[in-house]
Amino acid sequence: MSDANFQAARHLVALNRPQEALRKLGENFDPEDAWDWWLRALALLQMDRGSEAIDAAQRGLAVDPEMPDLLWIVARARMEQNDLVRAEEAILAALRLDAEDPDNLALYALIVARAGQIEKARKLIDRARGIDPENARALRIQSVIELAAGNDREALLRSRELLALDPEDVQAHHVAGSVLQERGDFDRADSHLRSAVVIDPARHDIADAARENILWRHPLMWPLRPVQRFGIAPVWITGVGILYASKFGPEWLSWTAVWTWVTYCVYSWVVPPVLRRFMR
Amino acid sequence: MTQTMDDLDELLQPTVTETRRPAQRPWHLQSQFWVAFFGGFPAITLIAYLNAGRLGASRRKQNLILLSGLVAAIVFVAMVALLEVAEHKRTIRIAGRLLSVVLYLVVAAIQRNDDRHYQTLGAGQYASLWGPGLAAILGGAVLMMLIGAGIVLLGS
Repeated sequence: MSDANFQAARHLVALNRPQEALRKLGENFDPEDAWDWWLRALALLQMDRGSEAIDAAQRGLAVDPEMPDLLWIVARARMEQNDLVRAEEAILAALRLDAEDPDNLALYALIVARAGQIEKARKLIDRARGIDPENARALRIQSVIELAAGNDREALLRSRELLALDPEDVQAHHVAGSVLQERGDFDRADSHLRSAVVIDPARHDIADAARENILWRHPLMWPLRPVQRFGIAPVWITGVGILYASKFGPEWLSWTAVWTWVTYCVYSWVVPPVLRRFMR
Repeated sequence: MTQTMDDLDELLQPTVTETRRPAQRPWHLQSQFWVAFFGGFPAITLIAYLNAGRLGASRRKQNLILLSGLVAAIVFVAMVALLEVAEHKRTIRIAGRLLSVVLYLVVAAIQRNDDRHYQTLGAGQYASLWGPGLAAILGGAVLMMLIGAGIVLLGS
């Protein structure tokens, strides 16, 4: 393929327009050029056509068996298919060709993290960031790994670091928004989640998280925020404790406590689904 | 430098042996509270055990859930055996409920890491607990009544 065509198609992939990239690639596709296969596989991966992406990458590897970028695509596609064993095989093959590539190390970290090996994932990411401290992919994956491990503070710090490098990183906004929402800081979470939705409207999981956050910011949900923040068990234990304590006081206090509690319970069961329906 | 290279060699050894692929969607941890509160320790032990499997938790964690349920059962049996049921029915009922809530806190903590992993790196979709939860609550409540009645009969 001509260099101009290739660069144009590559630019379209970078802009997340894979269908147009495939059309551009089709104009002058060279099956003997491994890079053409690489770009085709990348576009197919963006379109969630994993099997076709793997097929394209493998055809590229038939042309150039030692191209780590193609192995990266195979590893990524296999990971998305939840075939972690074969994903690991592919990424280790890429790392045998270049053990210092931070992108490959970062993807391997994500693969092992999905397999539940968080400590190994952390070591791989530390290695990747040691080679390239400002590698966006490694930072992104690090924030996701820390979020998965329950280390919210670290996940938030990494996502902020990523946003300092790229204020339009969708994943960073998503992670920051999720952590802040979990902490009950719905206003700041809203800012991040809305930004993520504007940048990538196709991500339904982020749109759902943003809608849920809007729900929690509604004034009618304020009485229920302790449940979201602390969990249902502590709120119930506190509530039931107050109910029993009120029995030692005057009767009117006991009745008020009981009916307040019953009202609160009914409120918590009725208001959120009604609000969700109304907001839809 | 050599040590760093050795560490890297060790890091680049294949370690993924199986795929965490739960066959069914798990249930929300918070929803399990209702099962504990209304169904007692048998209900929450069963639901938590099944959910741990759905989350892809290790066999050790699932066994820990069963062990926690067994401890709760022993405490409940001891309580019923030691207290005069006719005089302390209300106390037993309240203590049994409190015991189940404490058990919920324990089994939720056991499941928490795997739940967070599922939310972040897994499919992130949850199933409704209404059907299985109601079944567990009914079964659990009946079982607790039977245990209590059995102990009273044995005592008399």
